[in-house]
Amino acid sequence: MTASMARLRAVVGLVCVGCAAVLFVLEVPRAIHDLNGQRRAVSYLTGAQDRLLTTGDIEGLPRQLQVAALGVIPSRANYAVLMPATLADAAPYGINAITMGTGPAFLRYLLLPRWQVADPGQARYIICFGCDTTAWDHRTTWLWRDDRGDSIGRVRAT
Amino acid sequence: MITGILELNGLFLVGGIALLAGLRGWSTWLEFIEDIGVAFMLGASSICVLATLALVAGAGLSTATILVLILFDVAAGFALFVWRDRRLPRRFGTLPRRSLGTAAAVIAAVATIAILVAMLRLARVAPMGGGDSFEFWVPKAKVIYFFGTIDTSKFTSLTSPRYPLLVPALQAMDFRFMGSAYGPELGMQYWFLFCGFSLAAATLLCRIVPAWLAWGFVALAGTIPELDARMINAQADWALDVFYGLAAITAVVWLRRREPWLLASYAMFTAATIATKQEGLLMISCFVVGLLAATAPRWRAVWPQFVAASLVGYAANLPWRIWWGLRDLPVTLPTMGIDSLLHHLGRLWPSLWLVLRLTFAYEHWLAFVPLAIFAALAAVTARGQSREAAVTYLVATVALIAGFTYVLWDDITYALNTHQSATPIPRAVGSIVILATVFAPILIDSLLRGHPEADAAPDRA
Repeated sequence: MTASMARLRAVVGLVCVGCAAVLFVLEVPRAIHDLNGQRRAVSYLTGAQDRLLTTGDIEGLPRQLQVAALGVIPSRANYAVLMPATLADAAPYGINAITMGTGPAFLRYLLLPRWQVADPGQARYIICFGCDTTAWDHRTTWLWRDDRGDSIGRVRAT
Repeated sequence: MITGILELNGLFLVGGIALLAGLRGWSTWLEFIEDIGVAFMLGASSICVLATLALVAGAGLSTATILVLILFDVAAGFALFVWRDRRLPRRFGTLPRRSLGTAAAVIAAVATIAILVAMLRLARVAPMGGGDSFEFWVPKAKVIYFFGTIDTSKFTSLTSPRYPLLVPALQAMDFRFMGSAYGPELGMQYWFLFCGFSLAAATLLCRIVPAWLAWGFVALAGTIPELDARMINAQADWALDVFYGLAAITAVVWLRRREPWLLASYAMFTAATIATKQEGLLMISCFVVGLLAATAPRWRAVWPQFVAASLVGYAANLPWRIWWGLRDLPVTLPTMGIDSLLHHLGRLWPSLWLVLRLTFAYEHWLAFVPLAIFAALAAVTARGQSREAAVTYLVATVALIAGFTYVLWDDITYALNTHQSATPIPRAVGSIVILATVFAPILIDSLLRGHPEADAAPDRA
């Protein structure tokens, strides 16, 4: 009984080795091919800034806005991100649900040590991404604008 | 920037070599070379855990602090080296004999290297991926890098403030050595972690199974689709799984070889696992339960040392738990009481089914779990070490599945679907898969050996 059980276990072991060998033959080339495919898919990124900002592009943040925010907002200043209140308001600006959800978080990561505050009243700088600037025009010096209506400004001290 | 990451990881290796020289020593230079992966992972995990303690103590992670942490490793290793009267190796050692098994091992090792090279080429050019990477992991690292402390609302106001500190600490150390908080380059750090895991896992497994089996499954680990898709993301899931995999391997090898350095390594990898993500504590607990269940017949010989090592790994993370407890940081995962759990009983079966579907999804995780379960169900009919390995694996796996099911059942904000943005479970089941990947060669070897009288446990209670 013991010997036959040991033989049965050995057969099971050989079946497992066979399965692993098949997996090896099929999956090793596939994995290398997939990794190379991923690399080819991003081979258009030509520099450090491309690699940095492409994630934001994927989240729907305009490249120009990202570059401008990095250049305009001083490194230790705080800022607020103003976006449309609803998806319906955002749609004309080409802002979708993903960008609404992740855009501010990505900007927080990108712009650190600049600090993102939730209350625009506490911010020294504001990033207007598809927002209505009417309430801010009288107290903000706009430092950058694009033709989509996005803008970055410094709030004047009252 | 990449130079900085190379320097930091080189220092991890130096610290790990010193630790391992003190803990283990080597009789030949070949043994030393074989242990490079283990040394690197020991150095990385010990220094990262020390870095979390430094942050909790109020220190930032300046270059000077990081060097002090590394010197601590070196000093500890040197002190052990002198105390244990170890010597440097005097001979090179003997290369493996030429055989079919050696040829198979070489083929598998070459496949592993090919996968690592492809991963490296991707890591060098890829943008930073993974939502959680920019939502909170890398921002936490940036706060540490720019502001030199975690005791600031800038850190505690970020998402998941109670999450363990290892990943932000590691990323902050990368930034320090890079001289810049350039997120996309962090992919290189994760590549180093996976390289270290591959080498360490192969070396450790080779101590108890034939090299062709060890290297075969290490190569296969590199083909897991979810690993290829996310390994270099600046998140914590795969870092967690590599530390967990090494904790499991060192524990099982210790059970067979009873060399003290293996138990010390297990404690270190356990500390790193718990310091990486909240699930780390669940994962280690499940493994501990599995190993204790398997070794119950000889508990006196195993339990005291193993439990003590597990507690050391847990204790290294207590200062962080005390730190956020004192600051009353918000809980990330709401926990329902027993009444609410019973009220939401209808979530129980869908939660379990989702965990099982994800674990056995070939397109994401290949066939490691069914293979390991098949081998374990056969090995459990044997005696001694074969049955111990099988019971450890089966109990730990069932416990993990139950644990993740409970997480889904308990948190009604988690959608019961497979979208990674809606729930962390599609990524979390990677721990079940990595456990299967490291146990499969051990279980298969025990089936192939087929000599029950040679399979006795070394000592009984």
